[in-house]
Amino acid sequence: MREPLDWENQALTGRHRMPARAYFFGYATPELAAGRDRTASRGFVDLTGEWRFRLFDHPTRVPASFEATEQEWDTVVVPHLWQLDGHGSLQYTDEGYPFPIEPPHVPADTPTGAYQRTVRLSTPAPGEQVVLRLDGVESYAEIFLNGAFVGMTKGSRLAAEFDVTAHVVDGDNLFAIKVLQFSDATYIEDQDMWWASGIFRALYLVTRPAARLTDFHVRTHRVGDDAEVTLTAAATGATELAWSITDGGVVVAETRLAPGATATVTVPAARFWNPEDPHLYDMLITVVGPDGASEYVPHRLGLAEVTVEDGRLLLNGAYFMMHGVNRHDHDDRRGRAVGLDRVRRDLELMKRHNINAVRTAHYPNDPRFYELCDEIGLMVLAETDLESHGFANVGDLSRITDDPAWEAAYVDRIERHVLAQRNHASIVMWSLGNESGYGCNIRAMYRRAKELDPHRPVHYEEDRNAEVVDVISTMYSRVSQMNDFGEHPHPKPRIICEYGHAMGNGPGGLSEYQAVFDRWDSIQGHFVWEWADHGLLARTDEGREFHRYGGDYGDYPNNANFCIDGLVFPWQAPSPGLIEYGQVICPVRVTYAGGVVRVTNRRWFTDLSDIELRVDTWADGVLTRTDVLQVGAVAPGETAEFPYDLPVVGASEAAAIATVVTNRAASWCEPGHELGRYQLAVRPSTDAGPFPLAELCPSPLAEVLAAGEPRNLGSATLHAYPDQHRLHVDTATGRLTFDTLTADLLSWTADGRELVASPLRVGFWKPLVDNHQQEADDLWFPRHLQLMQTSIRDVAWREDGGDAVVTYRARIAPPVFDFGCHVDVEWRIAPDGAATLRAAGSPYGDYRDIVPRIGVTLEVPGDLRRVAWFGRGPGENYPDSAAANPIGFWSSDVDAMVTPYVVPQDYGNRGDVRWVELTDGSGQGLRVSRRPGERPFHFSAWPYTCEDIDAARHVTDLTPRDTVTVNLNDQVLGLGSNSWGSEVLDSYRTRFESFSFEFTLQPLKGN
Amino acid sequence: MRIFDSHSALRDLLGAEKRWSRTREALAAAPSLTEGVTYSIGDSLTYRTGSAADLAARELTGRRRYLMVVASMAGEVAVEVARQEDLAAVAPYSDLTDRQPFTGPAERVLIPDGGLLIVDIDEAARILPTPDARAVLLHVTVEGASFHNK
Repeated sequence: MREPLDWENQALTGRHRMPARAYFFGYATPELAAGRDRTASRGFVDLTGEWRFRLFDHPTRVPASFEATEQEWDTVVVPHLWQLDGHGSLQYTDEGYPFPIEPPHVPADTPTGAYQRTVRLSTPAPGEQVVLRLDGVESYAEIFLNGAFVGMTKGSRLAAEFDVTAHVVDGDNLFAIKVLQFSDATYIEDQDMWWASGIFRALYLVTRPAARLTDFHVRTHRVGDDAEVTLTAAATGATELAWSITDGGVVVAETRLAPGATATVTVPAARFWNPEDPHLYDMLITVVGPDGASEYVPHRLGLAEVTVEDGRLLLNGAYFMMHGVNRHDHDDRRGRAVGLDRVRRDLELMKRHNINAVRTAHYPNDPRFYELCDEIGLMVLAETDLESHGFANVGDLSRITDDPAWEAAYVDRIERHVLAQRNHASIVMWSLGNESGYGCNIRAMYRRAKELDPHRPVHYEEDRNAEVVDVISTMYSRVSQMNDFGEHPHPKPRIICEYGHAMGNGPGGLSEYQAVFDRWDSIQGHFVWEWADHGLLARTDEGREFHRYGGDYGDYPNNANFCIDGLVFPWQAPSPGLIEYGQVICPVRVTYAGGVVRVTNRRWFTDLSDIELRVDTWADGVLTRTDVLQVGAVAPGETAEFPYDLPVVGASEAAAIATVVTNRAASWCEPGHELGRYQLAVRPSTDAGPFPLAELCPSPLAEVLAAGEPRNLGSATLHAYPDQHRLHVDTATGRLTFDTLTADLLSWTADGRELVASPLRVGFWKPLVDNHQQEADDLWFPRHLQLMQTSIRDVAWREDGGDAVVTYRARIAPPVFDFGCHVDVEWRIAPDGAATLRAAGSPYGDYRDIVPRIGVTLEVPGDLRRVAWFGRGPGENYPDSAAANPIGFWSSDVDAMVTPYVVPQDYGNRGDVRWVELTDGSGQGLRVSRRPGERPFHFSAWPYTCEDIDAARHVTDLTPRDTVTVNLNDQVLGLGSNSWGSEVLDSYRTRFESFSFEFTLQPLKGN
Repeated sequence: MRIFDSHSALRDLLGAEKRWSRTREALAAAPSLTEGVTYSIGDSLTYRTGSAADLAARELTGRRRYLMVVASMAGEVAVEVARQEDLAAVAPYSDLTDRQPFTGPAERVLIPDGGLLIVDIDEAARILPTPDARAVLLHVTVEGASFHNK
């Protein structure tokens, strides 16, 4: 029987790879150790940078000479993914394997990259050890040095180290690394991301002294206010280890221990690590050999202990909840070959949006990621590199997860992960992987994790009933399901490891989720899917930038834009979804009632002495007062009250907004950073009585056509002029012209300028958002709701109380079917030039399910780009995604209001609007409002049409028009997150049912 | 309201729709799970086992997005059911719970030993504290064959 190939043998996880260990560096002096610059560690040789490279279409096509002889190949800069450097082809699938399923076999002609680099080195001194470390290679790598086989590794996102001491020579050394894109390991590395490969993380050499630390494990146990810290340290060639813990240069604990021994010290009155106060002590291990100190190993020590008591997770004895996100490594230029600056900015953005936890979905990160999380204060759900999701496509998700033949491969992944990261305070629990079914190998992984780190909880979502894991978990459970869990809790703590699928515009419904999470203390973590869009930067021939997704490289099968599902755009800017999430989890809650501002501390560990409230009050659009309230040391969970009178006496419209700011600098923010905003009060314009829809009883059309002379309608300033198929209505401010066949408002001139560019029409469709794709596929497209046709009948006009009234009946219905809506519409033009549109719709036929909106759309001339409104803002908001945008007086312009979703879709909605004005540079334009007492409305204003946006697949498909599309909506369907998750909640569903609404449009004179 | 004499009748009458196949999966798993704890299968359903007394409710409850399904594990389970339009709402519907409490006259029905009741989405219902009966209370999505269930 033929020996299996190394890359098709799941029982073989590596060759000559060193045992996994903690990530640390040894320095020659304490001063260098204090700097913690790994490039200054002993014998550090950075191997990133230029490598010779060639891509082969078969592993065996790589010439044998490659191992020992320099080749004349292309040059690439490592770390990289070769597909992003123009070698090979990219493909995106969510979970489908890009080749036939036949584990452990992969395509015989798997793409193979061959790398070479020549490095000048010196032979190590006797006893020293030269270690080659690779932090990430996908998916299989063979390493050669000067023609000798060094070793082999699998586990793309697990560090691999090789002892190359025996192969190093004085002078030039040829490193050769053969990388296969696919291997047996690919079957358990089927994460939702681009199929791409290469040496994508750092690689380097270190030279370890003869007396050297080989591993250490430090853990904390809280005893009252003190911390018992226990160190187990392994070393070779050493006689003794000295261990100290300092804080601000002051030694707080120290001891000595023998190599291989365990010692415990006490840090009195310890300052424990938590995400709100991520205090780190400086720990130093001095390795003493026969000739004295041989190296100094620093470690940033956070004193953190996670326990489970009575079914609750505790950090240092305190209850907490993780407000989290799922983060993939992604850079829109480099894919998963992310630089540390990008990683740091990701983490800072999280902190700036009140996120306190991150799940490393679905693999370990660069080891420096965990250091950053320790420093910045983010709890980590530390997942290892495991996903076999593709077996779901053959109805057998657990096929290899429950196959003992794969146990070694599975266990290897948790073992290397735990050993590498277990000293980090930020890691609150381990995760065995993602979406791989359940079976014997999960149980084996759990056992190994507990052997290596008995104290930290272990998570794995597909141990659905928490047979073995310490934390029960689900993904995409709906709001009410989470409430069911809370009402009747499992004995183990619960998290939801994925929810709020942030694909395109959305997610909606986060506030309701949070209300349930906050209600039940058994729910201790929630992680939005996901952090960032995986779009890859591209340019058109004209140089315009856009981002590509699945299928854009000719890849098939693909999951299209399912990878464009983040809270952060590919260019690392927050999307409206992130801003909403930041508000929903704001650590300070503010309410106002009865002349009292109530401030609640929603943190878990620290008080609010760093928090100020800025209260801004506007009256009739003018900022009339700003007050700053010092919140003081309000303890976690406590509420403080501040008497406060809102100064809005005499105003007809007013709004008060409290902004929560921090007055303390952190590594991720400056003083003055805003944590959230709350509406304290709103006073819409004085309520009026009910405003019933006028009886829509059109005059006979013949009467209209017969009238040929101007008719004074009882007002000195209002005249109507029928003219063929036109009706002109002159008012005090201008002229409106209607088509008497279609009832279209063809023109509206006021003070010498045109105000409309296309007629106003009632409609139910708006550009499709990703989170409504399922509704579109199942409800709307099969019924052609996107193709509804409007047919106008019974157009008439009359005078009524000095107003001109134009009425018509519209039938709005899709082709093919026999359902639709009859809409009676009335335009009432007043002598002062205000035109009020009233519409009353009555659906007919059998469709009563949801529709995207109910409202009207018109186009206005393109210079009416300045927008001011009294409603929710300043950002876009939707009925179920409105927490971040309080009601106030806001202004912007049509271009600044564009949200550049990677896949164009509906955007820019502003809800709870009392009025909106669109004006030109002189202030001339149009004002839209509703009568006092009427419910508020929604608007959006685009430089595109609905059809433009629906047709576009990338932002570069959109070209701004010379008109502005204005949508005035009575109802807008909530967003939900049903691109993969929760449907729109019942309260935010816009149904195809009877409706009536009105808008008043008025010309604005300008400056 | 639909009553089935046996759990297996679910397959015969409602086919292989994912939510109903998951219902059968839940019913198969239920006897081995901890009583009084809510478990789930994806976003298709949550379920909880207990005595009829434990599962009994004081109020008739209407739901909009997840159907109430009651499966007898032992003994006859009594349930009150009524159309929501024939009842008076006691409080508004809540998205957080997918529940709306109702009051008013309701029909008392018996789920046979080993049988199953599906409360339609325009109805409200409550389990009565039937002595010696044990049941599984499920909340099964209204989403049918076309929508994905995760």
